[in-house]
Amino acid sequence: MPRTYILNYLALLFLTALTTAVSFLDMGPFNTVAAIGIAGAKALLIAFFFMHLVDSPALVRVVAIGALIWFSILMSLTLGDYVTRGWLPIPGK
Amino acid sequence: MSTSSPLALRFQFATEEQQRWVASVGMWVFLATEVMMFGGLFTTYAVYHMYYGHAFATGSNMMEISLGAINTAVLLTSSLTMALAVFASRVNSKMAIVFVIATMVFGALFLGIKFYEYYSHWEEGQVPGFNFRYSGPEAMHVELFFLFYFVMTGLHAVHMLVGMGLLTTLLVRLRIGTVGPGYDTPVDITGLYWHFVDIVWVFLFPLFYLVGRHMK
Repeated sequence: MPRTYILNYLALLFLTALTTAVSFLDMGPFNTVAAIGIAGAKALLIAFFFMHLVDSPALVRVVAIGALIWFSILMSLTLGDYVTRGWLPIPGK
Repeated sequence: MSTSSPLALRFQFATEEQQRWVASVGMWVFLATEVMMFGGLFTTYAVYHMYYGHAFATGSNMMEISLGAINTAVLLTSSLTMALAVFASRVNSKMAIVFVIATMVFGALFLGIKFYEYYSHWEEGQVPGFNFRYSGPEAMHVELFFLFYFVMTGLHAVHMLVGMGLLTTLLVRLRIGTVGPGYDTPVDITGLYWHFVDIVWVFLFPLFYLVGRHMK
């Protein structure tokens, strides 16, 4: 519905202004958390309302969730390696 | 009902409802593969950001944040007009054409601003490999940041160009009437593609313009 789209658009513009404004504050590591968190919220708004996930059949949602799951496997296994390097002392290294 | 009508129930589907959604499912499967393509780049970016956070922050501070924010707003506006085009195509082809044209105008504006930025990076000597003049601390890793920037925003821009091509064919088909209230599937799935490309930019904007501005 056009009304939903316009409200969604206004919310997305607000979040864009928010993430830009927040980036000027020095919050240490929370700058990254805020930036990624707000981007995630915007992505969900776009997927649910502009891409109609909110009233799509279960099969469409399963595919969308599947994309997220595969991406999180890619991220978590890769970072699981790089982040944990050097956590355990390895003799001779 | 004539069998040549695109909406006629084909023999491989059980119901019209199923036939209507099958294109959406197919498009989402394609978008899932796109998630993996961009996902590889995002993952690599995360790893190098972890290793060379300071250099990436230095690069991030060399970006024009206002242009990035304006471009995000422009692209979100194009997504709104695209969503409205999808809605309009179910009732009125003429209205859909207006919204498709609006989407193309905002898409072109986005690309114009993006290429202006690329031009500025060239002028400032921030193009890795070809014209990179920054020689402060960790210059090599700042160059790596700009390599990520050009590859990821470049791949995004290529997707935008493909989207513009899809919208052009949509415009023609809406005009000659092979797409419209009786058969709106092409508008629907082009919309899915356009919104997906928008989502990619929603992540690119903070990663290159915002993250690490205060990292010391």
